[in-house]
Amino acid sequence: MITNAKDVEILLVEDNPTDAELTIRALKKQHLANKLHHAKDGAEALDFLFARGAYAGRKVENGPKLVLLDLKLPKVDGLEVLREMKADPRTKVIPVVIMTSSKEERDVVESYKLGVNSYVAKPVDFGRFSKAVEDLGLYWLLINHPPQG
Amino acid sequence: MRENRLKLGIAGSAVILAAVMVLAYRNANRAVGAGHWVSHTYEVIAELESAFSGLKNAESGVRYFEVTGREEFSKPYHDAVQETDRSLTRLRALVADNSQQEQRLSALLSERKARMAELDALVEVRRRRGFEAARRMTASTGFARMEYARRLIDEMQSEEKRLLEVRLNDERDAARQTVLSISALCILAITVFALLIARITRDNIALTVEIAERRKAQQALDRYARFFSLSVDMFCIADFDGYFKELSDSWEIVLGHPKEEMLKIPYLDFIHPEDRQRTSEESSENSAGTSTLSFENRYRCKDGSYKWLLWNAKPISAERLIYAVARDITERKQDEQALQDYAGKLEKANAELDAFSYSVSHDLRAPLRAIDGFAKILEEDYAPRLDDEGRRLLGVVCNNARQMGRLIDELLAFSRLGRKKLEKTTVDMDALADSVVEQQKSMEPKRTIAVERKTLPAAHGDPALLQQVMANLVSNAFKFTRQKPDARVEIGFTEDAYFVKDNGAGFDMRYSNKLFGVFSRLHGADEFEGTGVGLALVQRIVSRHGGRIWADARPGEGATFRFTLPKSGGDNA
Repeated sequence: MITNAKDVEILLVEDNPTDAELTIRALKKQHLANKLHHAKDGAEALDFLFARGAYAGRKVENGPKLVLLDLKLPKVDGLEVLREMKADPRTKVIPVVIMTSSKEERDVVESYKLGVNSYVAKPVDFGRFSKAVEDLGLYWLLINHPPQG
Repeated sequence: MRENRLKLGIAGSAVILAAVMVLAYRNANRAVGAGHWVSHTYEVIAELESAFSGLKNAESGVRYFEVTGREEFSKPYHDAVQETDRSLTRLRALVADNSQQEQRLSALLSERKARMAELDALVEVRRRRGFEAARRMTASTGFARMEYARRLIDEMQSEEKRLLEVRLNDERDAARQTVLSISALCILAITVFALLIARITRDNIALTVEIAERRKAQQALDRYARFFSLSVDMFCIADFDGYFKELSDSWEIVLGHPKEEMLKIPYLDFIHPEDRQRTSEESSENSAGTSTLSFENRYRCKDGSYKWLLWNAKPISAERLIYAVARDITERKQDEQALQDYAGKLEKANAELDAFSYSVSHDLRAPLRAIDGFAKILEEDYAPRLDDEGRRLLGVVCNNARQMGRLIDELLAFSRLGRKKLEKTTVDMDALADSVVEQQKSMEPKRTIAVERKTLPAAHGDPALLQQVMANLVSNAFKFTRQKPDARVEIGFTEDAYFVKDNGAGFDMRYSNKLFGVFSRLHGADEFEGTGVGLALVQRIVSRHGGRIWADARPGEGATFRFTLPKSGGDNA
């Protein structure tokens, strides 16, 4: 799903292919999906972020600029990915938006405790879903300026 | 003490009475003695009279004989002599106690002897020498002797009269003293008796009162003893040394050990090994004077099983005893255990439900999103190739997917509410109502709805949940007035209840029982949209706050929902 792992701006971590497709479609509309990498489980996401395994050629410092993270993932779940990211100074500054079907309060609380930047419950309504994804992409990639480091 | 004083009083009274009696006796004796001496004196006087008259009779008898010379006239003389002799003999005996009188009597006797000799001689002279010779003799003798005898007798008599005077006085004196001492005796006796009777009466009254009190106390004791033996609770008195002293019958009934057996064995031996240490410590506390309240331990029964006992105990240090009551709470303990098990199971079930709802919210929504999303994509990308019916059908797919999404959301919210802990604080219901109304209005900006807001008192509750209550009720009011051109919504507070009133569609009160049920709806989905969860949620929130919700409505005329909440500052949270 990626052209060049070096220039990735958005890392989408999503195991559900339809949700992934819908997300990508929404981002595409805003021309934000060009530099997107799709990881299908938590382990892959961590490998990508920390340039391990299949992604050993990458540099951790090269991004991404935004992580869209589902919580319920195979192998390593979203909260664990978040925890490891926020524990490493190199990945700590990358904005993370949790995108999940769950509105469970405990997930929200736990995510914010771990230092998540946004928390979005995926709406069933596709219109609202697209709007949310577009707004998030725009905000975090174009409006927000993360501290350099 | 009181007895001793009484005895002392009686003894003292007896001594005084005896003394007065002795005195009275002696006085009486003296009086009797004095009387004896008085009569003795009278006797002496009478005897003296008799002696003197004998002497005179002898003189005059001699004169008769002298004058007449006839022998028969000498007889009075002789009689008189004999009479005088007898009197004088008696006198001698009578005056033996008085030496003066005795001397006088001796003098009288010798005088009389001499005179008798003279008179005898005169008689002889008359007989032999005749009258004339006798007359001469008479003239020369007799008178002086007679005078002397008379004087002696007078002396004796006056002595006796003096004695009589003395003795009469003495007698009177003794009699008076006798009367006095007897009177004193009587008065004293009466006084002592009166005092004794008063004292005895008083003691008697005190005794009667005491007996009545004791009887009462005994009755109370009997009554308590009856309770002691009747009680289902187990009464006991235990010694500080670790043995039971007394046990009520219930012990035998509850534990099955014969009482005598329990009295012989230290009570700690009956206690469950796990409770023994605690019990021993508690007993030590008791011995130190501390009372026991709601102490629990297990006692072994005859059959080897254990019973849970709940204790209250009070030590009396002076008696070195512990008074205690135990209650068999085995059943309650078992119930508690069962309840605990049940609670554990419930908690487990809740956790399962939690996991289930988590998975529902996560897994069911994803396919719905796919259905809705791809239907939308189809519409966007292939709309030109679809006819109107095709587009309508797609719309139906989307609508249903969204409806199902809402159902899932609300169902989850509803189930979450059951588990959520209420975070109560003072809630400004005025501000809350305003923000809800504002929000609702902003969602339907094109409608004109007359909202009448009256002042609402603050409530005590979870602000987020109360917001949900108000939002649900107000959004309902907005929803069901949609077809009214002059939609009116009123929010206020009367008779301890908040209310939201509208002039909308209302409903038939016959179906009011379905109003607050989950998924139960009184209107068709084509009339008014909805999931049938909103009011169920509202009712659940209100009842979890300890309040009540009810509605009043008429079809076509509107509905009024009223609910109560704990007052701000109240403790019924």
